[in-house]
Amino acid sequence: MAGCPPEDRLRDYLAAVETTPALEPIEYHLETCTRCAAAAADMVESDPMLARLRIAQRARDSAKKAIQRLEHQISTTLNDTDDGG
Amino acid sequence: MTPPNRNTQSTTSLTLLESLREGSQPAWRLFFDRYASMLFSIARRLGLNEIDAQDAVQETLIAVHRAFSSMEEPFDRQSGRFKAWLRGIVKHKIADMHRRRIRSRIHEGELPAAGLDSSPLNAPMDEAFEIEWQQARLTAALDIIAKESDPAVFQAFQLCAIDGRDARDVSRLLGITRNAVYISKTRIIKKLKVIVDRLEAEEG
Repeated sequence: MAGCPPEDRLRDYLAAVETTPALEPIEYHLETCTRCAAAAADMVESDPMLARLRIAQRARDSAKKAIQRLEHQISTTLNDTDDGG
Repeated sequence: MTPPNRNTQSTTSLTLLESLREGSQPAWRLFFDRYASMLFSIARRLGLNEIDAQDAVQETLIAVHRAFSSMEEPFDRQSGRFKAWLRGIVKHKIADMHRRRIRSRIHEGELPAAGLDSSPLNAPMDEAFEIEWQQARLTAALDIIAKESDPAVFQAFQLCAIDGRDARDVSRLLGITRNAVYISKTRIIKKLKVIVDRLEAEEG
């Protein structure tokens, strides 16, 4: 597609915390260019934050049942306390 | 206790602690969602079995609840002491649970009556706490994004970025363009960084 930004510009866009006016054209471009959007999504794959997020999410999912049981136990204990038990 | 609602997902850390002091049930709900899983993972990482880990977390959270319910200020909220305060409580509860298990095994004759007072948890505890704290911050940021984002965009991100599903499949499943799937991935990761930085700054 005409006007595709070079890879380093895509990386600048992904690394920027705020989308500055200089990076806005890239944001608009990604909305219409599937090839660049796919390339940017691929670049995100190597972002350490995504790897950490997956680990964190897996840990949370695997603890889900134990946490539900815990929630029930704590709620009961605090209710007993509230009731003067 | 009335069932709390979950409409305070965007509450910032300091506001959350303030609301806990005021006895807000939604704040307690949010506190539980944010920290229970983290504390459980720390306890498991430090060798407690699932039941003991649950007990250690329960005791920790009840101690937190009681501290916030009391009239005394449990720590200096303005100087980022909450983290150290919570670490101190969970460390004590996990060590206590280990000691109870050791005593029980001594009582059963499985262990000699020596070494009960050794406390080998300090260094691994601090390391485990830091790792789990950072993970909890990440999942808290993700919860905030889930609340603030268009549900289809967030679901696309979850399926594609977290679960690793192919963008074409996600596109078909959600009835959105493949481009929208890719964009959900890049935008939410960018947003996640902003919110993680904000949460970190709020911790002091």
